[in-house]
Amino acid sequence: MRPVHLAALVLAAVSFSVVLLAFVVPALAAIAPTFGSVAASGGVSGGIAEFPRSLPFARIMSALRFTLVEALLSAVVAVIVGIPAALLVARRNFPLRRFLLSLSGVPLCVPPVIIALAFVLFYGRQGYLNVFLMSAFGLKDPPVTFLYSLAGVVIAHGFYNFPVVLRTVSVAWERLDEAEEESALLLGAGRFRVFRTITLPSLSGAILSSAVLVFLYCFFSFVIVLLFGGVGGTTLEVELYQAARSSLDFRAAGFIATVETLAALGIVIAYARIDRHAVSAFRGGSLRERKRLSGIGERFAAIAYLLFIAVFFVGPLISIVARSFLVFSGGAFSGGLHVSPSVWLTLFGRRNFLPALFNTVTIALAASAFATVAALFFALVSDRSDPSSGYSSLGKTRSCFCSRSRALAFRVIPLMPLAVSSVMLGFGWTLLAPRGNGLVLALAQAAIAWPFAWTQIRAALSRVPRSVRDAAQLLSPNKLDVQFRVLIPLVRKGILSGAAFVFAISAGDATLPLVLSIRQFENLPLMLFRLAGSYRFSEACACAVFLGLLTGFVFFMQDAADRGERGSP
Amino acid sequence: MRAVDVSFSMDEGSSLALLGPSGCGKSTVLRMIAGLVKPDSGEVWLGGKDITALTPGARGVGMVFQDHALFTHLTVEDNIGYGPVSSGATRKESRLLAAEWLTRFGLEGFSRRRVDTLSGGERQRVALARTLAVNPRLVLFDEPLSALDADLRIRLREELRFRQRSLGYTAIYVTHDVAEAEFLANRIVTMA
Repeated sequence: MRPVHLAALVLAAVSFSVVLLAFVVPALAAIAPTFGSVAASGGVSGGIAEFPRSLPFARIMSALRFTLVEALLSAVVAVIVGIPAALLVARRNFPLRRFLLSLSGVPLCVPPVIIALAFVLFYGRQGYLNVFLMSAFGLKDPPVTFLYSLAGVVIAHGFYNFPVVLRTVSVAWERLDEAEEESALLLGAGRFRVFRTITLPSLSGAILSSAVLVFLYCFFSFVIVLLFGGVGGTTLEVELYQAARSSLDFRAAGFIATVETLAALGIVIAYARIDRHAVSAFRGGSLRERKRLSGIGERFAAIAYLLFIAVFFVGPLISIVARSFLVFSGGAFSGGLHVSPSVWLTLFGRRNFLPALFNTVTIALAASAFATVAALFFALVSDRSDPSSGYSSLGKTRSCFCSRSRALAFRVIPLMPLAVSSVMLGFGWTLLAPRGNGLVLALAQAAIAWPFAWTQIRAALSRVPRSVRDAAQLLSPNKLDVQFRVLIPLVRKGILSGAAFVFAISAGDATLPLVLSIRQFENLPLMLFRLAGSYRFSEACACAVFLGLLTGFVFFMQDAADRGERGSP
Repeated sequence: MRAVDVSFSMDEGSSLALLGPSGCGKSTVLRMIAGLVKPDSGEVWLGGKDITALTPGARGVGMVFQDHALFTHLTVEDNIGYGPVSSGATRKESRLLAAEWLTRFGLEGFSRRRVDTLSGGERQRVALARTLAVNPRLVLFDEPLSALDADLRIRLREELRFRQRSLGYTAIYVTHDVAEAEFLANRIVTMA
């Protein structure tokens, strides 16, 4: 073993342990108040809640119901919007195909706070859609008023997450075995019947797995619900935030954390099962030729769908950019309107803009470094010793108890952060470290986001043939050479794209900064959130564009470097 | 899982083929000799030493894989130099050594090439050179020719036999093709 490798190994093991502890300890701390004495939990908040309080049980149950309904409907909307996109991307060639495909980066590189702002601008009472409809049809009242309700939450979530369905399902669709469909056609089935009886059932694994993922994202969605929920109801996440930060009822917060984690845990376990099936179902098929759009009906449907996406999904995003450059002078929308950089100058001129930018970048870099090293360590360790990975150095896959429980651990550990929300983790951190700081923020973000880096690295590792590992083992007496001199250089693209994902997630994250509420701390997502909250929409838009460039730039850099290769989100 | 139970020995400098249908465990035997799989019981001896407990990298056994398993992140010369560097050679020494092997194998001028630009025959030669560059006492070939088309297979099996005879390394070939086994090896061990 070379000293350099040994040092790097120790450092990586330490990083992984830190990231894992930064997850497990606050998660436990967050649910602990449920079981502790009420007085003790109240004591932490500085003596405000010294008297025993009863749990607002009914309220929590109604929030649970709202959360489940909202997440379920959002997943349904995402599937309905996503499947036509998957069909187009997987099976047809048309001018905007790459653009449609590139939308699959949106859920990862456009933070929810930007989506929320975009929806307010576009669908809000004074939004572009209403302004357009009112002037077009001479209406007095805005016709579109669903935004601040369950429907608003569901539509925002559904649109935001349909690219998750697009990506997963189109990958499966590309690799479907054509022979099955062709033999059904030869047997006399019509095109729709083939789709319904052959294609859809073969895709069900991929559809279900992406739907469950969207369900989870929406189950734990915070910023969008915080802005649009309000009257119609709130989710567990928002209830938890309010209990932890405004009513300081830590017992209720702990209880909510327990409830939502138990609920999510069940879903994550289901997801783990479906995902394995979905992956095994379409592995091995070869890529299929994409056809051109043919026939009037097909063309019309494709154009209508693309137009729909362009207006209702891309439209809101573009309206942010437009708003940041447009300046109104003299009254309403119809008044004098001109392009000007003045909003941007105001934003850049803010006293705390540069510190906010600096904080955003440094913390995202730190979170990305922690998460990537931890993910790489975990991926390499499971590559070496997980019997189910197929590259185990243990030689035989015996189904003894210890190897099976180890295989289970390797599957469960990276899924754990899916079952714990950012708000809950942040709440746990505030109990442990009431005066948070940038390091706490970076660690908490890394603890939640490292599996995103891990999936990228794991996907890259799974493309390295076993013989390459064998050859490396045979050629060097140094044990870690396989990892350091062969595997890591071979998967460097996966490592980079994993790092880029975590950077984007951290830089765009408003939730943990809000929950941790570090004193005198400012970053771009917080700034954006506050600007939007105080109705300074133009400046908020400029801030959103800036932030979107920061998170999107990193994403598209890695996307360009990664072109041709593929890893699922 | 099926049990694999074999016993054979061979002379230094000779060549042997493990012949049998696919799935009979010949590759497993090869992997046991290389140390990539631990046998449940039994021993592997090489040059009068029991190597059963040694790690793959410490056995003095080399292996050429069906897909050649070249390191795509390295150039041709760094692939060949990988083993020597691992056992303590400097970069310069390993490059000189790689150049020697490239000359020997008729691949002058290939040193800086990326391995994914090579033809099937060139890959096999680079894989063999990479294996031989660390002077293994025994070289294992796991179905070295099965992935190739008929023409290339005939050419490359001649090359394999020529190299083994002229350089004098000890070789074990795993194959399911009788003609190939007879052509390449002095002795054939049949598995079923």
